[in-house]
Amino acid sequence: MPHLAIETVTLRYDGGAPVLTNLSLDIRSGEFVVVVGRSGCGKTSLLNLAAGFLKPASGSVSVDGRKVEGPGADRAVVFQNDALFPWLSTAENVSFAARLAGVAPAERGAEAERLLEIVGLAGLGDRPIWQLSGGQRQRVGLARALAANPAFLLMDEPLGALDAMTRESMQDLLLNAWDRSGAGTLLITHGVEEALYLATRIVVMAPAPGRVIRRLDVDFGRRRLAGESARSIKASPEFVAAREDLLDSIFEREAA
Amino acid sequence: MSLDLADATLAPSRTTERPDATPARERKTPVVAITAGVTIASLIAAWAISAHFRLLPALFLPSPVEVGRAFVMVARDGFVDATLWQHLGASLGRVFAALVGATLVAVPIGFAIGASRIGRGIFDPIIEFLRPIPPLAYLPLMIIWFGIGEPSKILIIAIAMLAPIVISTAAGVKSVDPDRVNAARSLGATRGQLLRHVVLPSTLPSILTGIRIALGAGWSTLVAAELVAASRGLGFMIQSAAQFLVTDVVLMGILVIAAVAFALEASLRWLERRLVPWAGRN
Repeated sequence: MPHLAIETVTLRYDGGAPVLTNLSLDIRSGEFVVVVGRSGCGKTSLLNLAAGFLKPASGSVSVDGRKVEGPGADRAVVFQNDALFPWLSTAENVSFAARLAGVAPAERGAEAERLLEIVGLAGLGDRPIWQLSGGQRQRVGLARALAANPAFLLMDEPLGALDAMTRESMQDLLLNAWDRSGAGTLLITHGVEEALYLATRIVVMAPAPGRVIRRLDVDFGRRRLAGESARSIKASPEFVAAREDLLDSIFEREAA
Repeated sequence: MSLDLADATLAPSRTTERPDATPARERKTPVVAITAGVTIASLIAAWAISAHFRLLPALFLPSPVEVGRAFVMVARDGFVDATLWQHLGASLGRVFAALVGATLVAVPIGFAIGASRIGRGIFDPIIEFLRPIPPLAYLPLMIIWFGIGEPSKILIIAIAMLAPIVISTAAGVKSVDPDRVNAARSLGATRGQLLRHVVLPSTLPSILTGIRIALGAGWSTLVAAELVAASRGLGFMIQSAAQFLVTDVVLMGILVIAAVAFALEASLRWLERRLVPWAGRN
């Protein structure tokens, strides 16, 4: 079972003050790990380490015991600002990993169509990217990452730029995609409700220097997948209590 | 580059939830077009009136009708042994030959400057040295080095085209979205694939903008390039006419140069819309 291990890492940019100190995090297949924290706490840096875009000053990042030396298709990334390729059609964006691997166009088209259906964009494969809405673009970004069939899915505030209504439906889409792919998932967010709703495990980070101050296991996402409605989950007393508890953790350092 | 900035602010901004919404400005009255039309009409009217009442001698300011007649005459019978179309063809041939040469040299240099600090160290001083020199200043040197034939004429135009393409390409390479590069890397792209599938297409709009500006710059050095030992070309035609004080042909030549420049600019913009319809929409 694939295992992404971040062990006691310290990260600094150009020898400055540490952005992350002594931070450890494990992500295994089937887990949905959500990192929350105020801005500037190093959430995105943590994701960039896992993706291989950054290298730690000390400590290690490894997949199944092999040290991560750079980005790879086993750890697909979904970006906040979608980072799609506007010179390619929607379908060509989705099958970009296959194009890099030299898969024949006909096969790529079929694969893209299958993934677009999963993310609810069936039939839009020929659309130029710039004719899609913000929510649709994030769906394409997710489909592009899933197309690489990654062991891990790393998502950096993928819903951060979307309006509230779109975000709600995208949350269910993320849950379904995670459930279906079985990929170990790391999601960065500043939305406490989003974290509770999606995660199997929540990691709370604090800034200056970036570190983990709390970890907790939750099961609201599994309840959603079992068929309970989103509204009944978010209105349930245990959800509300967990939300207040989590907000306390995030802000207590500031009050102290 | 000021033109592009103006366009950028007019470009339709990305809509979040209404993908098919048409930009509002398409439904507005074309104020700019109307004002521009009125301006041009007034200028021609002022010209016609002052020529009609001979406010200036005809030698200084021929009337629009005389310039029109010069156009028909040169188009049909020719001037200094070539028709207008032959002059135009000679000039366009030189400018396009220069454009091909300049693009082939400038795009790789632009990539070197944009992608590597060593490349920048090598090429930046050369480009910054060449950029501000007026073509008339290096014209004698080109003739001494390359003679009075076609090569020195094409080279003069090409040098004027070099800097805009290099600078534009380098800016395009530098502004490639790092997230797009990272996205491709995390999907397994090698360095070569990154260049071909991400950096090159990202840079294409900037290269085309550079080419459009270069075409304008090259076209405006035409008269200088055809100053020595040309027997055809719009610049040569104007200079010959000036020597014989045939002012109507001079004016007609200027108008033709302006009209061709306008047509080139319009076709390049059309090409940009066809080749890089996504530019400015992200």
